[in-house]
Amino acid sequence: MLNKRRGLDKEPTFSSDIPKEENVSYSSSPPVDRKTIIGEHISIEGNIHGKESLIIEGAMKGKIELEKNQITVGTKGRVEAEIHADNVTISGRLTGNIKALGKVSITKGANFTGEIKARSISVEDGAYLKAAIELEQEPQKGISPDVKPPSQGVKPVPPFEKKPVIPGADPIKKN
Amino acid sequence: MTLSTADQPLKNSIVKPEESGYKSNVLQMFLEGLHQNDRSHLLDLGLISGDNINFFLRWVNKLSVCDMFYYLKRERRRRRPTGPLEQHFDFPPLAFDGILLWNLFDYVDNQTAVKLVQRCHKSIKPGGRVMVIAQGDPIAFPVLSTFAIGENFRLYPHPQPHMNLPLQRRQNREILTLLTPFNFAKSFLYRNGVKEYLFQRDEDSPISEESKDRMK
Repeated sequence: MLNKRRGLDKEPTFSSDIPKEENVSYSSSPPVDRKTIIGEHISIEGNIHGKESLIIEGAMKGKIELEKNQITVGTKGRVEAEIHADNVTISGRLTGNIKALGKVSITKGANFTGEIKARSISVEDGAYLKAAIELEQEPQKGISPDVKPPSQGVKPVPPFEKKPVIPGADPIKKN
Repeated sequence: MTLSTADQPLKNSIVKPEESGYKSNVLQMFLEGLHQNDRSHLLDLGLISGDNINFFLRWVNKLSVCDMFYYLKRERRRRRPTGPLEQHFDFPPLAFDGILLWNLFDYVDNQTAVKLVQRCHKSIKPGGRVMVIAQGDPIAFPVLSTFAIGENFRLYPHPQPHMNLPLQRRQNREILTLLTPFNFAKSFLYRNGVKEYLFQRDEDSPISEESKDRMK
């Protein structure tokens, strides 16, 4: 049935429980905002390369390279993978390293362990994260809209002097 | 104004946490110190906050986050041990230039606190800095709070009553003793009861036997 719809010369896609309203890809023709869904009851082990967005609601282990597209790990997704994508959204469980050309979004209830390299990141409260994060192309390191940047060319801060802790001699200063 | 003893009672310390934003001198010193290093790596062991993650990433090149309160809460919810807390502190030696301990020592027992300090000491680079915040005043802060970072290093505590973790209040002296593997640098006590400390690891490394004895 699927073969008839997509043609025998087309690459297979992984899909299950596809909602009708989704713009789901059945072919390898140039994608226009197309997405592939790995359904909740699908498990995949291996590598995925492609040029359309991917939503994972099932289990996936391996490597995913969708450099110009979006990867979403849905709330039921369980992924152990190296991911290279444009934007990545995590709402489920993901262990691995992410390299994103764009943004990584981690939503409430997500569980992520690994490393993230991206241009920007957003993390909702309630997400679990054990991660090392690096943002690439930081435009103005140390400059925040709320905080004045440290002065340029300042001298390195000297090491602190070792002071003994003396019971009763409280070093606390009141603000 | 320097206080004479660690246990001196605070006046006017009963404040609504959400109204108690204050300028964190230690946070400013901590981040400005890290900013001197072009490849600085900060470890934040506090509750996850997206805003704070983005704030810190403006000051350091690499940020690691490990929410220790997640494990504390999980253990409490299960009502059975999920293993020692320090096992989740599984970072490599000499990995970090700074470690941020928001108020973790308010919620762990002595044995766990000592082990966490030892792990921090092992994972921080020589010369690296440790920032500790303690909100030990049970009246001003009856529940665990996160800290939102605002303008000019102002911190705004946000109570997290859903965490429901028992407070293990530590006096100033106890915190200083706990952190003896590090050099003490600065500490501040604020009107809202928050205590902040800045420590630094020696350029040489291991924890001395003397420090171990004092930590017991």
